[in-house]
Amino acid sequence: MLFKVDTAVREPLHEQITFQIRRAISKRELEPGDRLPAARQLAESLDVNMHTVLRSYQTLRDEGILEMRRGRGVSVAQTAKRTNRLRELAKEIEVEARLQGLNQAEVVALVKEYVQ
Amino acid sequence: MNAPRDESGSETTHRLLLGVVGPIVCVAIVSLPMLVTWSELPDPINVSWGPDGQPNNATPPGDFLGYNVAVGVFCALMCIVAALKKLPTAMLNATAGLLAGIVAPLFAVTSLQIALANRGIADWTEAPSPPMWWIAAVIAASLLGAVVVSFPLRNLFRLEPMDVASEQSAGLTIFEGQTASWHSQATSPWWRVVAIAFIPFGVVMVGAGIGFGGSLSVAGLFVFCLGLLFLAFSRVNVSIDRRGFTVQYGALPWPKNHIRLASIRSAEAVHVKPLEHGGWGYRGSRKLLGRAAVVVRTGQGIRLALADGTDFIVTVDNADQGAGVLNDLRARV
Repeated sequence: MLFKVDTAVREPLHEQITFQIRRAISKRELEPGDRLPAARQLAESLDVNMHTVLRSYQTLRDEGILEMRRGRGVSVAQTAKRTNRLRELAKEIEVEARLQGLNQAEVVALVKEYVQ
Repeated sequence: MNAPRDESGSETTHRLLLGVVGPIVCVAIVSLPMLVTWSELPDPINVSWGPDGQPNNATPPGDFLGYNVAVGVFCALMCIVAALKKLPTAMLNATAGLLAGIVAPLFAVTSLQIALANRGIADWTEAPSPPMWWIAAVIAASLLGAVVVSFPLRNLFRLEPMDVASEQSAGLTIFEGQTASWHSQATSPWWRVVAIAFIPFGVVMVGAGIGFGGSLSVAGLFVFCLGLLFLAFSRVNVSIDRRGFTVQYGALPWPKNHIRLASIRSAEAVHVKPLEHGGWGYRGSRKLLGRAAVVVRTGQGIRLALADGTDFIVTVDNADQGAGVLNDLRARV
């Protein structure tokens, strides 16, 4: 998969990496069981601190999207797809709502119409 | 894929070297040790030693000579096939020649070792255990054979560089200020199956060898190591970033191939067929043939046209995206 980070944008580097992994899973570029590069390797490759990558991996592990096992590297969890697609859609709603000038309460109300 | 070449004097000479001198040398070196010492050999002769250094397997000298001549004839045929370019691709022809260059010296040195160990003894059980440096001699002879045979092969099968893709794989627009890193892999399920079969089989053989004695444990260790090798090389990991293009094999940190970004002219996604590259594994040689390929399966791969005029091909998933990233990074150098 392709990782891109940009130090000029406001979004923290670890969030940029996290978002890209989520997007790759939802676009099926990454499937459950696929391996990700080791944190040290990816950090060197992107010229960022290893803890930045680790923070991203740990966030996704806590959400059940990645599995991190000592000696076996980092891989996409078998349960990743179920939650990740919803998160991706939520992110899109948040961006769209911001563009249309809707506040949080209005967005929540809108979503509630569909989720009973 | 055979490069068109003029029938120059140099090529004719190298064809003769490979197609006539090569076969004669192959048959001669594997049979001469036995023929020269024939009158001094016992019948039968010892052909192997156990882990304890004691002779453990005998065979009539005529049979042993027959095996060696058969190997020599096989190597001779490989030389002739390569010289006449009888196989469909240059890579396959070169591989046949290289195989002869490695196998014939290997058997020649082994045959020499056995002939010397059996010379002048009354019974095969008296054959002294060969010194450990013979293993180094066998490896050195094979490497030397590969180097020697590479001279005519280099002349006959130096591949012309492939054309730079007229329409390079589409870039993915890596913006100024962005740092990009692309990672993908290719896996061979068949190699994994072989590895999964070999590793436990090797363990069982080692166990049986320890339990019942004999050389089974040595063979088991060999099978076990072969299984580990298959497992290690059943997957290639490819990464592309500002530093260049890196291929890593399995989970091992070594060996790996790294090509700096500045050494790459262009990249494109291609469909890789193993037989076009001489089979599976690391095929060809950039120095020897002008082209090398890392092939673990049929399917997508990335072809790099390098600044020194050589090509490097690697099977990898999502090759189109990888080639695009590489071309984008190149454009920014």
